[in-house]
Amino acid sequence: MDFVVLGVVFGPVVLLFISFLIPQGKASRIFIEISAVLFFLTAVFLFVYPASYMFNLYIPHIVWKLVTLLTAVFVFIRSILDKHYIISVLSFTQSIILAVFEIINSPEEAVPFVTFDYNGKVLLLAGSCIIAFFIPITLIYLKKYFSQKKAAKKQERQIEAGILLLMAAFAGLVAANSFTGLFLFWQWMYIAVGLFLRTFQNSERKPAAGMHIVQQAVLTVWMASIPFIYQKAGSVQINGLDAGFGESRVLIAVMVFASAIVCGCLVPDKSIWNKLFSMPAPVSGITALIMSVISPVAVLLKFVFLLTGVNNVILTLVIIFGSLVMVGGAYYSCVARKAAQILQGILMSVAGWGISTVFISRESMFFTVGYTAASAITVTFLFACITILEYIKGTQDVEKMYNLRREMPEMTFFMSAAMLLFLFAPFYSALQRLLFVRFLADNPVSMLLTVAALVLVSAVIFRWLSVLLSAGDKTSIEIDTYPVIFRVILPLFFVFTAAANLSLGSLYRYFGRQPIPMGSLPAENIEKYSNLEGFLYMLKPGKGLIYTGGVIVILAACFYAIYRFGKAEEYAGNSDSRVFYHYSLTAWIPAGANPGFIIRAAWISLAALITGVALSCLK
Amino acid sequence: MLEVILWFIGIVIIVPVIYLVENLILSAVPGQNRSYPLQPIYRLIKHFSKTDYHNRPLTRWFPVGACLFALVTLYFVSAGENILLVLSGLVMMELFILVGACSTKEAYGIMAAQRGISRLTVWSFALMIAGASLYKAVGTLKLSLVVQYSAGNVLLARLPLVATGLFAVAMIKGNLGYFDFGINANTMSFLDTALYTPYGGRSLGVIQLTQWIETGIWLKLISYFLPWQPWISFLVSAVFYLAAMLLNAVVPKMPWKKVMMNSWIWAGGLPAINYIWLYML
Repeated sequence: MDFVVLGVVFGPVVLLFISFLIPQGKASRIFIEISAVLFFLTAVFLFVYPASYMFNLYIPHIVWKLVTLLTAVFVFIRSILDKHYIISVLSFTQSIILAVFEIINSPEEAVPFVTFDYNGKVLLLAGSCIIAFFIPITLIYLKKYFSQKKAAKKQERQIEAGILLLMAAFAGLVAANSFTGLFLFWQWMYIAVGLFLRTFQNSERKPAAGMHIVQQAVLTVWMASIPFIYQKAGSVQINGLDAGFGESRVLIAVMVFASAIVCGCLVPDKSIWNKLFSMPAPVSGITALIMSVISPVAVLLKFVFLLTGVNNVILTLVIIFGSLVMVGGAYYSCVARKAAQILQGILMSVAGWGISTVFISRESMFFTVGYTAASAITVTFLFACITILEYIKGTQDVEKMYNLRREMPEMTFFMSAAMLLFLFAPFYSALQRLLFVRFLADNPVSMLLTVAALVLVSAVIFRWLSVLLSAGDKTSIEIDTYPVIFRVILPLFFVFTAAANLSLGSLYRYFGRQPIPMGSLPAENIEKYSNLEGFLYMLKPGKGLIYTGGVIVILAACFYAIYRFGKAEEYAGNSDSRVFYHYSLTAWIPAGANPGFIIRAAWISLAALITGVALSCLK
Repeated sequence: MLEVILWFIGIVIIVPVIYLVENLILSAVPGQNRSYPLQPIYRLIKHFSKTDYHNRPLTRWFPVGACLFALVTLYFVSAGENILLVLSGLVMMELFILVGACSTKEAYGIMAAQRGISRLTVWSFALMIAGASLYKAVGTLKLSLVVQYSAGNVLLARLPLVATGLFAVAMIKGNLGYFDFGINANTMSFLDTALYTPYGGRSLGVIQLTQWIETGIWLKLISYFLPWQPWISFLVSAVFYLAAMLLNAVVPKMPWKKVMMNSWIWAGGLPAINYIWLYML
């Protein structure tokens, strides 16, 4: 097995054990930051040198089996100690199934157990970039956060362990090559998020307990289905599933979809997100990004061959579900008051776009990867900005950002530019083409939902931008409250963000040139759509880049000129200008109507429909 | 190319003419304010004769940017380019106006910008769905090919609600009737746009010009759905718009939230229904 691949997946776990030996405090924080940077560098290495078989390492199958079993047992014991008996029963069942399955069948594990394809490498690169830049900001923020709390050391330890485990789980989910591997890394993700929640729980009853039970139930079903899959396919490898799997293929496809959705907590329900992500902004941000955006898309990409060409009804329903997630996220970002909640809604929308487009065509699959990666990085950058704002100003309320361009001009510039990048780079690229050409063909309902979501997210960004660009009181931020590391990381992160967005087209062409293993997918001519009239700028050298770059530069220059040369006098009547919430995008909805309730009813109905159609295939 | 130039000039001219005709008719109607026959043009000249606010040296450039994008979009429409290009140009134009409003210290400016963004959601949704419906019906997004299709087929029969929705959008952008987003609910208070007045003097004049060009763009877009020769279709859509402007004088004003709901129902809902309908029939 490739040593580098193994390192990127299991390195963080090794570092986790090493971190226990390091005294808590500054040293452990530096250790975690170095680990995050190493993680990123390894991902870059993997991306730049695709075939790095310099060091191979043979790992016996028994090791993977033992690690998986130990993880299930760990969850079982931990849940007993936490008095979560339903989870105990479920994890006990998982352990028993795993042990019995190994004793009776003793299947060969996938060789290699972990490996990255092209999509995986791009997503890994995006995720590791997010982690490398965001972790230092998170740790500095948490240092201040914990300084006001009791038992800070224990909490810091939990957070640091959670971060390292999250890295390993994320890399594992992207790289896993077998069903048991996915189970293992989902469990790691569950443990990592559990550590975060344990740190920030502030009541006797854990708010996210219900969601955890559902996640473990789904993982139990997943584990229970592995013997069935092994019996049918003769292997637990993902690639071992071929097109001739029969009617059961639909059921497996739906199970994969459901697992990705539930483990990623990708349901368009605000209350569930609020419960699961009721943590400080940076922690909830990084968890949502890794767990709910990049990982589910990465897992679904592995099974695209399974879902493409299955029952058309299932595919339509799945695409509608993705669109619903997208529009749900957009709506929740419209009604949110805090910047972190707005960004979470936008993230949900991005993930929804990924779910709905990944199954449409090979072309959309490529673009989904690029868009998910670039937008995840951009939203992380915005998360980093609001984390710094909260650190300095103690609030993340958008209404309090009216005078930001005077207080922190560089921060305002970066935020504005990132928002414009988020809107324009994908908007004036293949996204439009994909939307109008591919989506249009078969998915009218999804098309409507997707357009509505795009418009709403754009409007939310415009509104936020309007606040940033508005004049306000002239106050100053004390230098010592703005740590130097923030000033260093932010511009660097911005450069990466801009590069990720503006290179979407290049990314696409990079994929276009790769010798892609086609699997059971028809080898579509991905250049076919390049000849369509219309809007393909990002895919043609120069033109799109110039257009997008031009737009951004013009707007940024306008903004900078206003700041630099504008002769704005003392601002009068600042309370009158707090109009952000008075003119909300949802003000027109009658008081009797509750869109949140409608969205909830829609996703539950859709989930029931998908389950029903999938089960009907067993007849 | 000559045809494109002629369309460009024609669209630029037609909207001031509509305003002049409206002014003439309303002056003749009992109970309406009497004014000079050339009042709209005179008002524009008056704006250009004034200087901008001294304390906002850069605000004047935003209307210039908006006007530039309006002209570019007008060229796209005249040349029958892709409808997505038209959408992008209009969005850019709107953004320049909104950013200019936000950059001032006026509470009204910020308020108007927030309303403008809400309005932006409605019309951009409507135009995107209109584009999707066009693609579904005609198989192309390029407006010059839509004209060819429309010459041989009655596009209006397939997309009646889309055309109606786009007309509602034109009314939204013109602050007419039940779609008036104006702050004091009086359409003529600020050049028929939702922005109150963060702008002054010449920049206000440029905003007025931009709005006229934009109205022309919407009228031309609506005319693509009509079944006659392009210039006849364009004149018909202009006449309909004039009728809406005249009706506006007698229609009561509504609260902002009600206007927003109306806009979503008529401009957002109708094209969406038509779009689904295309799949069902």
